[in-house]
Amino acid sequence: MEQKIITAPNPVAVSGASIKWLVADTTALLGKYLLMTWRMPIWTFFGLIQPLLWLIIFGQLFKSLSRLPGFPEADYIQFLAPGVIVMTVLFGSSWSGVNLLRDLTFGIMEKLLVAPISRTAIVMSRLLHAGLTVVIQVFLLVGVAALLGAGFPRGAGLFWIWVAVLLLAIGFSAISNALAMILKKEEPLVVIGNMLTLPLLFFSPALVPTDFMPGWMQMLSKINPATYGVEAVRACYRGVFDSFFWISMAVLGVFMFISTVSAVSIFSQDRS
Amino acid sequence: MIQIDHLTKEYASGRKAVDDISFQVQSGEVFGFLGPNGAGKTTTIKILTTLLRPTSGTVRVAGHNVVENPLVVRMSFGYVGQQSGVDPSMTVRENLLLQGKLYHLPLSTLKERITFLLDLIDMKGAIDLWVGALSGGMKRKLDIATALIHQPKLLFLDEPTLGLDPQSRSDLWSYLRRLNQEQGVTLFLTTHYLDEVDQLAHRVGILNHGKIQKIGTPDQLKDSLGADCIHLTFKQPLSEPIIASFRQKEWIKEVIRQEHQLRLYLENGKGTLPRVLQCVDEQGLTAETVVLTRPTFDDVFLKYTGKSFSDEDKKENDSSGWGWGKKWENDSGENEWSKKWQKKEAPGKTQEIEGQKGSDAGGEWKNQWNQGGTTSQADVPGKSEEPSEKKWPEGEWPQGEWKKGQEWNKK
Repeated sequence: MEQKIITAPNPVAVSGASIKWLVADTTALLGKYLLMTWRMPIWTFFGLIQPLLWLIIFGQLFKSLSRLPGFPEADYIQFLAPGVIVMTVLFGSSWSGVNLLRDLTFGIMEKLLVAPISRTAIVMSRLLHAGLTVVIQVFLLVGVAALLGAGFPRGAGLFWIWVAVLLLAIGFSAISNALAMILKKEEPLVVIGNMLTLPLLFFSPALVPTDFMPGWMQMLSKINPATYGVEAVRACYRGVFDSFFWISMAVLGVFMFISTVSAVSIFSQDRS
Repeated sequence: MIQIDHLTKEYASGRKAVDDISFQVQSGEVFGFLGPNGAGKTTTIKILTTLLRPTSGTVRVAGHNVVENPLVVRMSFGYVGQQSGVDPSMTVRENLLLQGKLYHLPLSTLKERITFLLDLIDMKGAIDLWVGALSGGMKRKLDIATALIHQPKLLFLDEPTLGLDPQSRSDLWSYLRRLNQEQGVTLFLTTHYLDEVDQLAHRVGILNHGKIQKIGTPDQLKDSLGADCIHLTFKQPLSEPIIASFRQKEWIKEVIRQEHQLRLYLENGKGTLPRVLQCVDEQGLTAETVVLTRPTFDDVFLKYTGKSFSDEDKKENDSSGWGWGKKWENDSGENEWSKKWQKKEAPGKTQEIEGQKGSDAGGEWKNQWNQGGTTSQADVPGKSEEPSEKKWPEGEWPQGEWKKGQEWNKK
């Protein structure tokens, strides 16, 4: 057995905490998750079915809404498309925690946790993966919405729309992952996920302008991260990058940061 | 290699899973941690592998404190968990490559290491197979290979043969033995198979209800009971005075009662058997069966915990409701072992004494065990692709123990 001669690969400097290893570990794990998504592309498409139904059915159902005085767009579908994009983000990222539970039950997570890698890398790779998957879905959705008459993001909007979607997706998958770590069970996670996504959607200007909402709903929509997602995406479609757009982007950035930090800390503390 | 001092782990629910245990494991040793489900084995191994924090006490692995220095500790060991940690949706090669990357091995070393490991576990041909398509035994071997990717000198295995068929189990044992002897890897394994520690371990710790009941070599533990065991089954219930009269005999080292059964531990079982039967007559009892055997780990366990191993197993299962649940679905209120004894009694009526060489009762049960234990596995439907222990068919389970027992019977 010639292989026996191999000397120990002198494992490493224990420097799992350093930025270099953080990036390397995150990349390695992200690569794995992307490979799995690449092999099962069908799930990415499945995630698009519901948004498309909303786009088509709601677009028809509320068609005449745009005739109301004060409605911001000429055509309802133009108004609806950014809302449905944010909806895709909400639905897509709420599944990220379910995948975490799958890894927990298969023992895959345990194997990661005994490896000398940082907890941050484990969480970050999951969030980035969820974010990138959603970005791909939105990419396809923007194309279909354009065919349905929703128009196309203008100018730099084509770039900023991905940034907005990525921030929102990472933020919501962080919440989903944190909930998964707290609940540890798939059923309540799915129930809570469903319970949260629809109100988040309705308390945002995704389907109707905020001006059309009763006062209390307007209040709620102000503290809803999805609101800022919808506003940012809508600004991208209009090609208007005013201060309101930048405020929305900043809120999304802060939202992503806070939820990611919480997810990482919940994950790191889970050793009781 | 491992040093545990006054380790206690209390869960948030207030349950003490591990209660003030202290022991050491030497470098190069195979240490078996034996106990029923819920005894605290997995909790201990999770603390040793930095997955859980101890409530109190100090734990040092490879010279480093697991709480203060978890990253160094993680670098020093490999871990094979209760569930398979390999990803079923990737190939064997991809699993090994990813594991190597996570231990920060340079790609060239990693490739050599993968070749070496696949050679070690005889899985070279399977390198590009989907892990999901592997059999339970192969998956376990791959688990071990991934745990060894960074050449650790210490390997933790948490119930490594759970749910494997007998052939895969003994295969795995031989790989583990080689690993220990040729590579000098210290093995720390938990199991609730009594024969597993007997086969593999240099030293055994018996854990029950979070406390260490006894530590010693397998032979020490068995010798503490005397050379032989006489196992009597009676029709009528046994009263305390009867037990006491057996206890008074100075040539009987240990008397353990289990409902209608009596286990006597003594030296020179062949010579004392007539005297035992005489005592039985004097007490006005009728023995249904009399068996002379060597003490097994089940006896050791019985002695140190006061309960039959499988009684414990059943109780823990009822409360925890996972793992072996399937095995006990038969609502009969009786444990698996007592069923075996009943099966045994049926043919035993025609032949009072068995246990010596050639005194095979020839009953159905014995054939069954012989087949399962020593010759073919044709009658073991457990050889499925399914790694889950829950799929293990009822009634097939304790083959390993019996295989061992029969070897002794032949002496």
